[in-house]
Amino acid sequence: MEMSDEAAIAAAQDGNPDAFRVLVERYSRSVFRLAYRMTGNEQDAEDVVQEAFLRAYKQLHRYENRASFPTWVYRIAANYSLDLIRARRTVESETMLEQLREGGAGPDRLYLSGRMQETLDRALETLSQQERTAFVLRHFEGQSIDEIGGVLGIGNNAAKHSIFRAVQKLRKALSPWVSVSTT
Amino acid sequence: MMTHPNEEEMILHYYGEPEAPATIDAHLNSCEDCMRRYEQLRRMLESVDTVRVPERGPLYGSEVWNRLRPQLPTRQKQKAPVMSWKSWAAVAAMLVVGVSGYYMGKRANAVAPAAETAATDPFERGRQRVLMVALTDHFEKSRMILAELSNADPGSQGSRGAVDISYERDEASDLLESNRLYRQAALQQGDTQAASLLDDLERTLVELAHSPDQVGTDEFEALQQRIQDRGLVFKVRIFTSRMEDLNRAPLSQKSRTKGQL
Repeated sequence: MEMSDEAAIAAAQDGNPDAFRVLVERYSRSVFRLAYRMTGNEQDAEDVVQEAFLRAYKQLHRYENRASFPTWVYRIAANYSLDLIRARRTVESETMLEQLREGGAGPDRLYLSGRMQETLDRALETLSQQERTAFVLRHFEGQSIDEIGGVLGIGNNAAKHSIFRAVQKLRKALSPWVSVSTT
Repeated sequence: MMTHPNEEEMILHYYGEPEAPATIDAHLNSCEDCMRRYEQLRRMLESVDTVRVPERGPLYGSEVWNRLRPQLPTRQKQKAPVMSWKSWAAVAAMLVVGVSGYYMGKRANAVAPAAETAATDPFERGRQRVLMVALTDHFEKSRMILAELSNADPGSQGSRGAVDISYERDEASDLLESNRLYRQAALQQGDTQAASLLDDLERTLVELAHSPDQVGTDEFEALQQRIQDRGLVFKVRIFTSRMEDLNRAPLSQKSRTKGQL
């Protein structure tokens, strides 16, 4: 019979690191997807997966069943992703960000040069850390506003408004591209 | 008939949130202008779905585990009896080139001879790159501890009244000794900017390193407030970020950049 999350956590807390394997194998792919959407970079996402599980293991004594294990490890992964985004932001991305903020990179140029993916990545970079986390968890992971509040350690209203602000910023950054692509 | 929904209500509707007005569908079907706005919102959000995520195979979890397993600590954390080679090496580097002088270009004249040596000696260049990474690592680890504490919600850590900070305390203890040496070296170099930052950091690390396993919620919130008041997360982030930029740049560019930041 498959070991439940709770049983695996209890065994790992009791000093059996191999019990942690169940959790790593069960949730690595979903943590990778979250991390990739947060960082937009495959290698960074791999680093996040590794570090998130390492931190989760080190902090297992702190884990209680108030949130599910995946929600808890998502929170760790989301926070570490934000750290990476801050640390690895390059001069180039800052320049592109400015272009988007100022509308300097016109839709034709972006679309015709096949930089759609990059445009989306950059648009996501215009979001604050809290907005990006809330948006990724809501839009891609389908988490409820309540769960997102739990991940971010904020109230439901604040989580909801983070999503609103994220969508508004994305609309502003992407609207030129969206209108070009639909004409 | 409902009034025209605002964007927030449309967002709630798009995500199927129960808070969305129940009559919004009927309204959209009868109001051309609102339907046009909603369609624009929907197209924009669907365009975000085109962010491609690289596939990971069914054995990915096992691969992650195989990489992770050797890194897992024993449950009893081992204290390092002596400072690591990286810390000593970074202190030595600071004695040669200064911290903010090298990274932030504030003391270009004072460090010029060392930089010239680095530019011409391949061994010295390699050594400096390793040392830069070590120092960046020290700041980055410190910042992560502070950020974790700042972002933690005491209410979610367990029963109200006690917060477990043993992990952060142990990490702070590990960083404290090297931080002291970095600060002393910076002072010796007259590098007041780096010394001031390291001094601020040290006060918080000392406080953390001498904390018990658990602190009361009020005490924890007071600690968060002190970290916030000192602006430490922000200051360390800015410093680390500039160092990261320079770490990525070729050394020849660093020489050109020095003094221009």
